[in-house]
Formats: sequence, C-alpha cells, structure tokens
Amino acid sequence: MIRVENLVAAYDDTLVLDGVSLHVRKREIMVIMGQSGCGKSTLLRHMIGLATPQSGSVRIDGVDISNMNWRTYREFCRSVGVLFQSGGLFKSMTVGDNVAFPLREHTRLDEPVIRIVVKLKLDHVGLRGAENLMPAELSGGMKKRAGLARALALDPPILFLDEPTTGLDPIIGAGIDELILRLHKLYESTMVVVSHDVASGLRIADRIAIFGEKDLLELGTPQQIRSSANPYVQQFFKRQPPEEESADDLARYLI
Amino acid sequence: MSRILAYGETLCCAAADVGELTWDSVRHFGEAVRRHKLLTKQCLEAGNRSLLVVAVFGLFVGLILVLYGADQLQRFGQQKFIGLTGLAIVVEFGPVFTAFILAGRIGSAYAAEIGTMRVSEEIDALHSMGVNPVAYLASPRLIACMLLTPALVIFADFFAMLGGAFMAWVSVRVTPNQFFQLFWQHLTVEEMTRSMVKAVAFGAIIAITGCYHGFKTTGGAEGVGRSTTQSVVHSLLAILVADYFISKLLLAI
Repeated sequence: MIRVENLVAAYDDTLVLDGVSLHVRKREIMVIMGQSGCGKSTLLRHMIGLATPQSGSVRIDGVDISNMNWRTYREFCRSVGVLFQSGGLFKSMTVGDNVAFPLREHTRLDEPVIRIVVKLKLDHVGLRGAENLMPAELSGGMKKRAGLARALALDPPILFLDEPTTGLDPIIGAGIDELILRLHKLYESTMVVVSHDVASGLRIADRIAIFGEKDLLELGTPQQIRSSANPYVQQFFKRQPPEEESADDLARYLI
Repeated sequence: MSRILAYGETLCCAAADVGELTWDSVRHFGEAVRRHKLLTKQCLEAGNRSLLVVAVFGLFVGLILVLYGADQLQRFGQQKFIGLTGLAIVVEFGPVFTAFILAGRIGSAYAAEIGTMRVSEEIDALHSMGVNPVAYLASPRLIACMLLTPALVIFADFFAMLGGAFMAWVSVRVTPNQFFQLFWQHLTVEEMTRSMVKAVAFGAIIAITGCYHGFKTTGGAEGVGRSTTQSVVHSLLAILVADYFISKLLLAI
C-alpha cells in the first residue's frame, strides 16, 4: 500500500532521515513513534507529498508521489485524509465549512447534499450539531475531532494522523483512541499515526515503528515492540530519562 | 566583505522567490476568478474598508500641499497658479500616498493572515487537500489589489482636490472655480494614464510583498509579527523605488 524506500530527508544542511525504508500494509494502523526531533513528522510530510526527498521514494499503490505533477497530485489528494497536529482547521470558516471544504473542491455535489454529508461526518466523530461553531470556540479534543471529520469528508482509503492525542488530557486522549479504532472499523482505511504517546500507540496500533535518530530502529506488533531487547526501545517505553552529566562533569566543563 | 556577499545572496534569493510567487499568482488568475466568492471578499476587504482612511488621508494631503504651495507662490505674487498643485496630486502624491496607506492596511493584513495560516498548519492543510495555496491565497489578493488600488487613488485624488481647493480659498483667496479651472486646463490624458499605471503597479507590489512575507513566516506568533513588520517596510521601499523607475520610463515614452 505505502512503501517508503531509502528515504533521505534534510532541512537545509541538517540530515533528518537517513535512508529510511518502511512498508505500510493495506487496512492496518501503523503507529510511528520516537522521541521529539527524530524525524517522524518529517516522514509523514514526505508521505503526504508536502516535502520532496533528497533521495529515495514514497510509493502509494505503486505511484511515486514525489514525482507527480500537480494534476495527478490533486487526484491523489482525494484518496488521502490528513489530521494535523493542531487540527489545521481554517480559522476563518465554521466547522461545517471546514468539513465541506474538500467536498466543494473535489466534487460537484449540490449544497443540500454537502450539508447532509457534513452532518454525517460530524456525527461520526461525536460532534453532532457543531456545524456553525468557529474553530476558536472548540476545545483541544473537539478540534482534533473536527479535523478528523474533515479528513474523512471524501471517504479516503488512507488516513494520516499527526499526533492525534498530543496536548489532550488522558481521558480525552483515550476518547480519541477509541474514535480512531471505531473509524478504522467503519471506513476500513489504512492509517498512519505519528505519536509519542506510548499508551495510545499500544492501544491502537496493528504495528509500531520506532524511530531513533534519523533511522528506523524497530518494527513490529505492540507485543513484539514491548518485548524488544533494544535498550533505546526499552528506555522509550519505560519513560526513562536520558543519562545526564554528573555534577563533576559539569564542574569540569565550567572550569 | 563576506557579510556583504551573504546579504547580496539573500537579496538575490528573495528576488527570485518574489518573481516565482508573482508568476505563480498570475498563472492562477483563472482559478481565482472561478472562486469568485473569495475574489469578491478580497475586493471588499481591500476596497470598502479602506475608503474612510484613504479619504481622510487624501483630504489632508490636499490641505497641506496647497498650504505650503500657496505660501511659496505668494512670495512671487503667482498665487493664481495654485491650481497646478492638483497636477502633482494626480501624478505623484495620489498614487504614492494611497499606496503607502494600503501597504500599512492591506499588505500587513495579508502578511499576518497568511503568516498565521502558515504557522497553524492551515497552508499545509490546503496543500494536502489538493488546493494550490498560491492560487487560493495569493492570486485573488493580487487581482483585488491591482483592481482596487487605481479606484482608491481616484477616490484619494478627489478628496485631496477638495482639500486643496478649500485651502486655496482660505489662504490666498483663489476661488474653487479658479482652482479647478486651471487644473483641468493643464491636466493631460498622459498624466492620468501615468497615475493609473503607477496605481496598478503599486497594488501588485503591496499584494505580492504581503503574501510573500506571509508564506515565508516561521516561528509562531513572534514570526507573524516579524513578517508583518517586514511586509510594511519592504512594501514602502519597493513602492518608492518602483515609483522612480516607472516615472523615468513613462516620461521617456
């Protein structure tokens, strides 16, 4: 379904991903985890086509998305939905208009039909009756739900979710996890979720990919990852802090 | 020396980016016209909401210009020629001062609006939904500014002339009739065309500079503030430089 091959990505002169290869199977939930700055969001941007790799490729159903012209890319966008970390909702539009946006851009549906689809999608994410609210009036969890409703507007077979539970309290976060599982069952979509929320990752993932610095460290089912012998993976899952310099080291540095 | 070279390189890169943004925006004019609701919104934003400030500014530019002009001409006993001040208003002061106001009002708003969209991932969202951000955000703004700036310049000129005529009567007792008669006698079609050409060019500069800084925004709220300030400063500089070259070119034709 999604095949990343030897992907090399950099911002200016800083190498972020160094030859990453990854295969996401059809209808699975793949959770990409790793510490902040390890390049997981960069990988997601390359998978969506928001960034061009220095070398390597991202193929979705065999098509290399970094070499698409705009017309083909626009068609490709119909088959993917993206939830951004901050929700990415258009602040100048109501929630209803946000969800209707992809429908107005990509279909010739009449306005009454669009309104029905919007109601349906908002109902699916638990935001019934929120059509006329502005994004500024929504809580963090509601923003994520509204973003999900927009991502689902065109019934895409692939969903990319960037940090869906970040910044939410554990109860709301657990609610988002359940919603992701319910939507996965309902839409039978392939989902790629970027997260550093261990509990969430273990709850929703079919497979987990753990990233170290610039590269993929471990890939497997939640059970396999949990029993991994890799010290970094163990440190990540046990939430152990990085080794800090001792007071003597610090004193030596200062002197 | 290396700092100067680095600055030159940055300037060249920025010029290339601005050129690319301009060409991209022009290329997508058709798409902007197709999204006519968005275009109308931008025209109303740029036009209607600028009317009052442009009128007040125009009025006071007229008052001040004639106040000083009359004083100078009176020294030589030539105050009857005060109506010619209107030519300076139409050719130079109207387009330049209106553009200055719009750079502060519209250009900064474009930079802030697009900059906020950039830092809150709205532009990424547009792109990921297969909507070209330049076609959606920059093209309608460019069309709106290029259409509305000439209209606002004529509006500002009108109020500047009213202010000028009033001041001519108050300061040197030249009646409004004499003031306007001399003005219309000497105003040529070439001068009016020159004024409109400048207005269109200044409108394009304001829109492109605002959008460019908006798209280039990084670093959260602080970055948005920086982009907004840079947009105004660079617009004002670009307007003055363009004014010189356009004037030279049009006078040579």
